[in-house]
Amino acid sequence: MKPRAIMHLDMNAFFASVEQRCNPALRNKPIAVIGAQQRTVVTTASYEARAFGVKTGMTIKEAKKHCPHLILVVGDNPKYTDTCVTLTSLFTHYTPIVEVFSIDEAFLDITGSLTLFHNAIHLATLIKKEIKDALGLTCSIGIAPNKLLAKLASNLEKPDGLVEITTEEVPSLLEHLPVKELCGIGPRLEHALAEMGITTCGELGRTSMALLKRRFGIVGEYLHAMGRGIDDSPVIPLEEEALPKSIGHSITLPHDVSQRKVLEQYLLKLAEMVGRRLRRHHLQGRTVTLTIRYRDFTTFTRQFTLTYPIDHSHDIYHTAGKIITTIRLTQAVRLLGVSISQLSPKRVQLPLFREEQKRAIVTTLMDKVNNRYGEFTITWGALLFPFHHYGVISPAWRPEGARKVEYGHRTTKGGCT
Amino acid sequence: MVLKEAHPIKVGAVFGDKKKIRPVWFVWEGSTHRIKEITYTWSSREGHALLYHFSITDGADNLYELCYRTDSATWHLLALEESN
Repeated sequence: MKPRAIMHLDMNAFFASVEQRCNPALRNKPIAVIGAQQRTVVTTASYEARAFGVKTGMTIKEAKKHCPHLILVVGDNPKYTDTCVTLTSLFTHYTPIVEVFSIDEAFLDITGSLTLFHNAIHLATLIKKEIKDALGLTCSIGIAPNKLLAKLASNLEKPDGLVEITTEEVPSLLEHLPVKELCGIGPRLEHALAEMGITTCGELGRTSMALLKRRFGIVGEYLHAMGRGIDDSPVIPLEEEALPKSIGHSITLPHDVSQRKVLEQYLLKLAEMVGRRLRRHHLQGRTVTLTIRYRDFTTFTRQFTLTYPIDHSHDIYHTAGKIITTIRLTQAVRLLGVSISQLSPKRVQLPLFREEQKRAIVTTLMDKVNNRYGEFTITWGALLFPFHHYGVISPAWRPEGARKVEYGHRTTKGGCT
Repeated sequence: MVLKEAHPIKVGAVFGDKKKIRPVWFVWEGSTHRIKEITYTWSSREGHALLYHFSITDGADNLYELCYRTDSATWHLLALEESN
């Protein structure tokens, strides 16, 4: 069988690069893109800022300590999500098998395209040129026989890299490569492997599968394969992606909050956001999960499973509210999250009782107005408090389907022609 | 700097083929600014309305964000940053 040719494409310092394209005054300068919330962290740092040690996830204070002349830019999510849509469409000029891995990463199965484009390096060069011409952005591309190695290859040369790993090169490349370089091996797994005396991919590949399975269960089997550079997972195009396991939203509150009344307002807002997404994609769910993060960053979740599926915002709010009443809050709350899981396609059950009928009509009408004029154009009276939730782009965000979230932007109603 | 509210403005633009829109000049605070460079473009949605955003610079290297709403065929200034 012909070996697969998989490409991994990683946009370099994506959000920061987009901002540097937008504003010529920011080019070649250390910048950090931060969230729109009052309490935020660095979401992406430019390569110029990274040279000073500024990293994703740092607080602004920490980042400024590393780079006092760091320029902070408030992120604009619609700009990045639309760029991802443009990129995804551009990739389909080269292959129909495109998997959006995150907002700034994608896998392309180019096995079937090689006869049209001579070879993988030539194809990658064309993609890089098209991205540069259309958007002015650079990317790193890795090409290999599978997704694991393609991702590894794209990490080997940044920014603006192009690396191909051939089947013959795999054993020598992996022999001394630290296990943490493989996608999927995080600090905890790295530590657990180190306790077994495994620090390189070569050692991981030579460790018996039985031993790894005893220690890590089913994951041990994958680890054994990963150590030898084997990965049979397919590139899954957007239209073939499975239904999401859950749909949720969270908010870092502008200030730590102890009053339950205030928390309930945020819960209603989150429930409405979750309910809207469920109804837009004709889904319903049974398990409502509430996430709370305290002032000291202690985070925990509590969930409640209903005997019947729901998609109405008020039902989600009511269930989340029931959960919060069972919790004795020991500190002020920093972050609140609501999600719903055990999803299934919506089944239409005509409401039997008058109150239910009224509620269904009101919900349908509210959805129609909000679909026409934008989110929260018409909403619950309790939500008329001045809080704008611009959101953070989740790693699960996708350019289509139930994983797509439309992020808030500045409104422009009224104007000149 | 993001403006507190979107300012309706007058814009001269070329609506070309392939659905491309290219703003050429705009009027802001009584004077006409010629657009030197369109540095980035993107789109967003507000309900059914499709919004085209243009990050642009003028002759004085000031940076502006213009937005065109397709439902009302109106232009707005959303942000501006004056060069030092």
